[in-house]
Amino acid sequence: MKNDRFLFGILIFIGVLVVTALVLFATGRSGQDYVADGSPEAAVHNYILALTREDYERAYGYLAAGEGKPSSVEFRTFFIRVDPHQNAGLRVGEAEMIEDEAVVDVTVVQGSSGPFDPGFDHPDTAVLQLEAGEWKIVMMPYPFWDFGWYAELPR
Amino acid sequence: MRTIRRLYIYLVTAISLEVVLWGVINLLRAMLDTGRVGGGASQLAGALATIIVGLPVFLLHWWLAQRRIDRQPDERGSGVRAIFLYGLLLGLLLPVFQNALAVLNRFLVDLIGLQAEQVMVGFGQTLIDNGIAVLMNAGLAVYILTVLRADWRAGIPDPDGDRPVHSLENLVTVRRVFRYALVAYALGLLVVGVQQLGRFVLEGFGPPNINALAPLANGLSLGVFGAVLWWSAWRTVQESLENEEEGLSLFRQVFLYLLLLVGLGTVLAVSGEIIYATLQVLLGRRVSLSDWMVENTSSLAALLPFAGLWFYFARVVRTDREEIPEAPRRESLWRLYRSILAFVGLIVSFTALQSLGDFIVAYLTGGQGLTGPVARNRLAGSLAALAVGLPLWIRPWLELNTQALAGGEAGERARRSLVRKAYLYLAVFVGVVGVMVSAGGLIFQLLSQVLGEQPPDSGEAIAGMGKNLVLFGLLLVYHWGVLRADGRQSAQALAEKHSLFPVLVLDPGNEAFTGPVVAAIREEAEEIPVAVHFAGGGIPGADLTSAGAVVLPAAMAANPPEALRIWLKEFPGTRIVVPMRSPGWVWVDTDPSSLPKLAKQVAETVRKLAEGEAPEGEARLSPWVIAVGVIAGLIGLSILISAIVNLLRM
Repeated sequence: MKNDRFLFGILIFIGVLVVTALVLFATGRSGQDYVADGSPEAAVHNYILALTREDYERAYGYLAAGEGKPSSVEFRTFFIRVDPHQNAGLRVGEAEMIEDEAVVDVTVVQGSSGPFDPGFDHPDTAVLQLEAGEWKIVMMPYPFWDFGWYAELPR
Repeated sequence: MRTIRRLYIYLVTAISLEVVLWGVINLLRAMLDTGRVGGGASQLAGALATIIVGLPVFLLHWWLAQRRIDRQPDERGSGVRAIFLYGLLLGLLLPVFQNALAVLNRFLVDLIGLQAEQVMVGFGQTLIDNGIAVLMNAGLAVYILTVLRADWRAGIPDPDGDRPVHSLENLVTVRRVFRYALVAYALGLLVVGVQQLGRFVLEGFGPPNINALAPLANGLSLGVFGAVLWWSAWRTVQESLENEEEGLSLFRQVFLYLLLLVGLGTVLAVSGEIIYATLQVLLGRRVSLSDWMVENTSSLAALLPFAGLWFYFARVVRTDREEIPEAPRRESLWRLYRSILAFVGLIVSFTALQSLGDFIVAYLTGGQGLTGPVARNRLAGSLAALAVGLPLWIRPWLELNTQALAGGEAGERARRSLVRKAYLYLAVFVGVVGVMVSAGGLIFQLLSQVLGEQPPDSGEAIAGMGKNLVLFGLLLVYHWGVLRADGRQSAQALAEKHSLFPVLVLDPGNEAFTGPVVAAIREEAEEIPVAVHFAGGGIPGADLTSAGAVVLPAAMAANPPEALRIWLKEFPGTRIVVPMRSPGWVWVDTDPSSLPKLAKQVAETVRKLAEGEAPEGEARLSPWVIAVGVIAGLIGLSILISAIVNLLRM
């Protein structure tokens, strides 16, 4: 009898968890706005947000200049094909700057692909460089980047 | 040695026969393939080479096998020979069915006007290819059947009353496996056929597709062929139930429960996929109905056949359960099946709760990275897994608990069952390890904060560890509570049983025997009443004759006084003989050197008898064998179900 009550309590707890998750999903949209440019973290954040909102022109603007830089059409075509924002997000960590270069810790947040796949997070880095006072992206993790771009890292 | 020799002879015979058979088939195919240009010589050479190598080997070994039959007719009843003959028969019949199916499949694809590559079976083959394979395999199958018939005849007593030359036990057992293997094969064809037909119907909701008719052709051929074969094979199996031994066979029960597990497992897996896709839409994914149908056609189409399989065989199992007279065996199989379901449900639910907890923690600590679709998919995945896992856990678990809470013999058996104990201890083990790991992680994070180190995302890490601690703690506390309640209830019931089982120890006048035995019994189960009777003082009185068991040294049992011999003969309880060292007597397979050890064994035997269990010495499966079997079964089942689900996704 006591265990039955405990089991009933567990089921209520599960119900509360489900309701909480649904409420959070319906109401919470944190980290979803552009932030002021000026730091490597802001550049990475705004680049991902632009891709998520399918604002490819703005996202393209965060790419560094250099040999192998894709054209805006190539850039857009890649993302229409890969469609990264359908099931991947990015958590932006701290940046480490050395002169005009910066390495930003990021975590790719992969959504689930089915009921028995909880999704996964994997840490990675983004590389940026300072161009005319603005931070531009040199490299990002997949699926927010095509490794065919920039045969050699731009200097 | 004889078994190894048999294994060698029959294995080589089987392999060489198959080599020769397919060599001949390839030879005939090469000879009759008039449309082929080039490469014929190498095909011919290959076929001839296999025949030249395989034929002498086969003839020699088959001759050896048959010669052995002539010299020792009881060889016809050997298990290895039965496995060889029925295995070979299966290996010959399956190609017959597959090739016949290929002809039907290609015919229907052609009739509907589809491209040849749309066939599911027999792509790239011709009518001649399949015809040759059917004829050759069927011809050899007929020969094997005549050999089998001769073996069966030799095992049946003739009307003149002559004794049969061998026992039919092995043939009966292997034939049972053969029949159920055919049922499984036919059922596989039928299920895939119905799934393909369902796919054809559902694809009508999607955009026009040039290959939309392919599932119709494939479904019709596999479905019709599978249905006919299944009806025939299943009818044979059901008719065999007139023999009571067939209906009660453990193999049949295990086979049926495995079918139930595959059916239910696949239904739940594909239901999870469908619930996931539905939740995505409910949580804001924009997708048209036709696109949604296209994405989920395979899962939807699989629901009907696997649900049908589950429902049908659940009914068969129910009927069988009512007909098995031995309650403990019926209950133990049922309990094992329910426990597997409950445990899988528990794992799925727990994993889903973990991922739901991760989602909540991520949101509460900022939600960075959880952009709309990512959050939606993670939430939908967790909720879908929970929707599948919770009913799978709760329903069988409540049934198992109700049984364990019941009084009487059935409740006692349920509480003491190895499967239930393994379930509970495994859950407790996972809970303890999980609590240890998450508590350790939490303390580390908190101490890092206190000591001034603030790693990035420490808030999320602390919340995550806290969440793990709560979930593993709940798992541990709940199952520990159930385990303790079981223990309390069992202890009460056992104490009652022990008190109703008095034991009499016959004292040979040697305190070295009586003292340790009585002490060991009292230590093992103090409620068991123990009386000691000095054997030299005559036979025990009438009040002691009602004891459940009498314990005496082996020397006394071998050479008792006449009055005691008669008393022992008439004694209604169990006689427990202790093989103590005695001059001039050797007890084989015992260690009479250690009396404390023997006394402990006596005490364990007495306790088991008091509890209604089989005493030591009866053949029983080791708990390790059962545990390994259950784990292997679970792993195998999960591989099978994920293979089915992956195949359906293709």
